[in-house]
Amino acid sequence: MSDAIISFQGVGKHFGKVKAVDNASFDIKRGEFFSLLGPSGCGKTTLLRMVAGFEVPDEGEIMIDGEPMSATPPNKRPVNMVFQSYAIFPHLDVRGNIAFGMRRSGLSRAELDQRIDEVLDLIKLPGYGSRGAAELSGGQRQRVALARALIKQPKVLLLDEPLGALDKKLREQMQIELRQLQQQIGITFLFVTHDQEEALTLSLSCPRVR
Amino acid sequence: MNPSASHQSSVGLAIRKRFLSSEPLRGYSLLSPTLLTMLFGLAMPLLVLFGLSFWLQDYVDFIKTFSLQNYSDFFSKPIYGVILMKSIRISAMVTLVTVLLAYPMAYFIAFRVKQNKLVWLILITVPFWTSYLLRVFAWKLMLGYNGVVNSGLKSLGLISEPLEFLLYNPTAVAITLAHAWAAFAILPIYVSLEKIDRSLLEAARDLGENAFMTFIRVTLPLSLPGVIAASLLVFIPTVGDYVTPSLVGGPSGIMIGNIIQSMFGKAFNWPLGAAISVVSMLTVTVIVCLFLWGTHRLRRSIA
Amino acid sequence: MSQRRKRWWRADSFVLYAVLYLTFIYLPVLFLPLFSFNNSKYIAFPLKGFTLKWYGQMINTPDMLEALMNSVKVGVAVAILSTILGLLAAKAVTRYRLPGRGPVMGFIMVPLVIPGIILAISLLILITQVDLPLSLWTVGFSHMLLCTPFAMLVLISRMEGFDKSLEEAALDLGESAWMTFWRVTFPIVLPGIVASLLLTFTISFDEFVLAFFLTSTDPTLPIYIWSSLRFPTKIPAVLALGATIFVLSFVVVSFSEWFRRRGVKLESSSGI
Repeated sequence: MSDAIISFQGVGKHFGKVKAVDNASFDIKRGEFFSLLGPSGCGKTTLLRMVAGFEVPDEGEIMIDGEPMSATPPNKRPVNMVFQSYAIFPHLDVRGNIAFGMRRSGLSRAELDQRIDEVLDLIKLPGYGSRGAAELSGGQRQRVALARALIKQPKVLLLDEPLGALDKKLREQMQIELRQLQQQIGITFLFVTHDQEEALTLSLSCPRVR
Repeated sequence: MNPSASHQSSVGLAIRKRFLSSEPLRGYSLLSPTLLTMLFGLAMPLLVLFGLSFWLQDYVDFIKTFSLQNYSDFFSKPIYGVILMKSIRISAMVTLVTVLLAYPMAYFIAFRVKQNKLVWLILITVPFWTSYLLRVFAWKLMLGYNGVVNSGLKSLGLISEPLEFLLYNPTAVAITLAHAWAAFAILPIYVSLEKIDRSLLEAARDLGENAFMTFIRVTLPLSLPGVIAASLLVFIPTVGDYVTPSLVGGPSGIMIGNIIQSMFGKAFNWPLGAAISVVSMLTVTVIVCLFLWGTHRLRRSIA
Repeated sequence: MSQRRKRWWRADSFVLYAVLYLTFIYLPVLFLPLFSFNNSKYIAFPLKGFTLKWYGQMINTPDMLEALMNSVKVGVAVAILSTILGLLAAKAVTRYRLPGRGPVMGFIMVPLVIPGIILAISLLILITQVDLPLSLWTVGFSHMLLCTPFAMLVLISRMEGFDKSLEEAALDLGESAWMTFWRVTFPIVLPGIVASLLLTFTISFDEFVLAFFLTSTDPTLPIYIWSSLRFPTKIPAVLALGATIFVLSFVVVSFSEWFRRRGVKLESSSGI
């Protein structure tokens, strides 16, 4: 079991009378690109949000790297998320967005600047640091959201339909880039999509949710 | 079965988990300062008012035994009931006039003004930056013996002596209140008109209704929530107003607010004042419920 | 085109109505500053000529200036406190699934639809029953009750306008709930907070009925105005003060509108 980075153990969640997730039990291996596939409204986003800590399971337990998570708030969890809407802070520029989570990283100003430049290179947006959130295209916003999460070096990166808002051509390009990026940095990706083709392109392990 | 059972042994952890997992709990703890303030500052005083209405006044002290004397006073002396009914009549008239006058203005801003809607909205609120008391006083100035209307008519040669019937009567109260509460009527109606999806109006025209029937069958019902909000926002506070009647109402323009105020002032009978307040509040609540029920039926019958 | 030509009168009759309506709401109010420049202590026609002496008397009426200061003090405290309470409540009802949300919100909104005099006497009875002295504090408390629902309404509309996942993103990136508020929620909701502060200050500053019942020896400005309306000779100076406050609020509203537009620009350009 030591190679399981996330382990769902009988996880259930309901909203009122609606069961969103029912007795989900499976493991995600370390370093995997794991896609959750299913039609919208089938509970895969709820599952992802439970890993992030925005929802707490009514039943069962989610283990991340062997630790039970149900008493850990979102800000103390070793995972980061790329939101469906990207959630780029409108009052900060690209650099401010990427540096947002690094306030208590203990890095000096210069070290942090260097790290930011590195991730800007990684997401192929070098020199975009001082752009305002408003001056970015959809694809660029998505990359910034990715960089903002990756600079935290999470144990798992959670992606909630991050390609949904992009047009077809850009989406295909980003699929390839995401796959390469994941292999390059070796972080576990947990990817939620309703697009079967996308799931197959991206990932080797892909259970269907219901 | 539960793999995390051993981790939950600590009570603190269990509490944290309970707190994190219960959204209502987190929501209500965030809401609690506001809610407690309101419970303490609103619910409790209203209960105390209700309780006091069953006591009696004995010079400066209260007789603290349960009694229905105040309520039987209210219903046996016709003056209170008559003045309450008059207040409701004046407020209903004010509400009707204010909303009728406000609707075309709100409609104009929502549908006819293409740019600078905000400028129009500000233009409407500007007069209301003047103190409420001074705005009421301004009507004394308009309608008074040497006021604007009389001076105007005199200089036009239409009258030789100032008209005295303009001020100090229920009509003066109604005009003044309709003016004072104008912005409260326009804004909610404007908001509900602005929310209407313009394609609905085009759809109605497309389905063969003319402009007037489109207004009756689509625009009006959809803006009804704004009209209802405006009516309540004007009607309820004006029933209890005593500033306007005391400044421009004269003896014939007295409203229930003046009676309540005098019970807590010169007449010095707090329990009776409390009972009058309770009866007034209940009456207003019943009227509001009837009004809401009526508008609900109306909305159904149009649609 | 023919349709447009057929309807020209409709657009015009609306404009005519708008002008008449504005005349109705402006006309009485415009006479007030007029009489603050009139060289007579009687507020009546005909006008007697131009003077600035009422403005001189305004600065030399310590009672009035003290009442003004009392109103400003109460207004500032009320604006801050009710905006905080409104912000907490707005966040709670927009960000959490609350059972019983409707009745709870309805309860908090009660001060909007209750006649002021009823709230005033209820509080008066409670305060005298627990033997608290009447003061500016009791006035402030009552104003806070009245202003909180207004603050809440303004802030709810602002909170609903921005993406909930921005706050989640901040939590996800490791910030505590408190720092999330300061680094994300506060800067984005700021225009709403400014609007709420202005609105609640204005309501408190102009409130008469609650203050009338709940103060003892310290008058607020509306109470001073109320008492001076019985002494005709005091009125011109009150009108002078009214005109001054009006001009000041015009400046403040213009400024806040400029501020709000900056906020809107920031927002629309970011696509949120």
